[in-house]
Amino acid sequence: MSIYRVQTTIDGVFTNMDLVLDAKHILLSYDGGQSYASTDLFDVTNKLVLQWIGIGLSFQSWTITVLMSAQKADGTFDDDKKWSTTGTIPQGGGSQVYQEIDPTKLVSAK
Amino acid sequence: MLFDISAAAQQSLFESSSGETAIFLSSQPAPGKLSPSGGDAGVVLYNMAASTVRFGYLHERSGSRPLGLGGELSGTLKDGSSTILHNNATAPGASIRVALTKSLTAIDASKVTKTGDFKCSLCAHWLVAQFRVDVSQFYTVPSSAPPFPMPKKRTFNGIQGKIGYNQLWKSSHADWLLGATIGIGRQNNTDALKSAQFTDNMITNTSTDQLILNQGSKTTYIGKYDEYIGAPINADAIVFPGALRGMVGFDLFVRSNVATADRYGSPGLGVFVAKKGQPARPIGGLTVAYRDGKGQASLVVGWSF
Repeated sequence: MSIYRVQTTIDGVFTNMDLVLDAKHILLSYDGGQSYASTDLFDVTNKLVLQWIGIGLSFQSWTITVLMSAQKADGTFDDDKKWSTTGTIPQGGGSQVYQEIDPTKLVSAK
Repeated sequence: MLFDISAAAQQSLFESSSGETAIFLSSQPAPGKLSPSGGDAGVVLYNMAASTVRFGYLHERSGSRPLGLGGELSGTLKDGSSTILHNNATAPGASIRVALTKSLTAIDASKVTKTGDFKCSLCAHWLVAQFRVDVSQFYTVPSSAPPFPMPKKRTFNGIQGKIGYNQLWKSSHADWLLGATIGIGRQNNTDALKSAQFTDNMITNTSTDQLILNQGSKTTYIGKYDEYIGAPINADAIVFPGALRGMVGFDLFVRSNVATADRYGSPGLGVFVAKKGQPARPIGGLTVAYRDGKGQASLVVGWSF
């Protein structure tokens, strides 16, 4: 098990949204524009499970970006590794994402 | 849930020539899911109807104390010059609005599985409360028939409270934003009066000549002026046809007052245009409303930031 710093950013305009990381509901800060973000620490065994629902007007585009960095022995963090996905809200419903993110298979965000 | 209220100064730009709307589309989703750190958003808009213009700023703040604030300044595009009267003038004034929305939609992402879509018909709905204060100054005359009477100066201080309900309905072919509000407040009937710019010239005799001194133009309403307790009811139904990919919304609306004094109903139609992928943030719109046998067109443009 490793401690990871997880920075999640969601871009888009929604009427309702809910984000769950490893079964924990995440509170998101709002930048006043179209960006919602959170930084959390997770004890990741193998994969980080991301579950998300976004509701809004159809054809609204959105992006989810997750930056993960492992905590080193001295308490500092490695370089960020990035996972990202994009989409648009479909007609007749909302968008949803279920993703198991393996931090060992991510590429550097640099 | 820590708090479940968010701010909506008004909406974005979905408004008619009167500056009214029944749609309060907050840019803060699932307010209970936002952290208390908060954030700010704003919209600047111009609403031009005939020769009039309104400049508005809508501000939203999220966080533990969510608040929506809207401000508006109004006036006429034309200034007094050679003629005595300009039609369709708007009184210089200011408006401050405060609004809150409460989401009634419950979603739980922990139930999302690897497969499947999130289908919904009534995808979101929320309650709205708005309080506004209006201040304006203008002149009134009972008639424009000669001899032209001296206009009487008026200062109007209006307050209004509204509650409303909004829905986002979806089908496989279109989205519908539905909204209705009912309010009560102190109003006047200037919307129903003919408005004009009155130029008050003063003639002065000097030893060598006669000078005409322009005293500036004044917004004047012609007819019987009334102030009363009104009960405005507004409704909007904005449809976004799927074939237009969220870039065009058609707004069927009605603005009305059901109080005994100045009772009216004013239906209208609007068309709003948005950028691709940004249906909730229109860049502008055109509305046409009908009231008392007359039509009024309005162009709304603005910027969200």
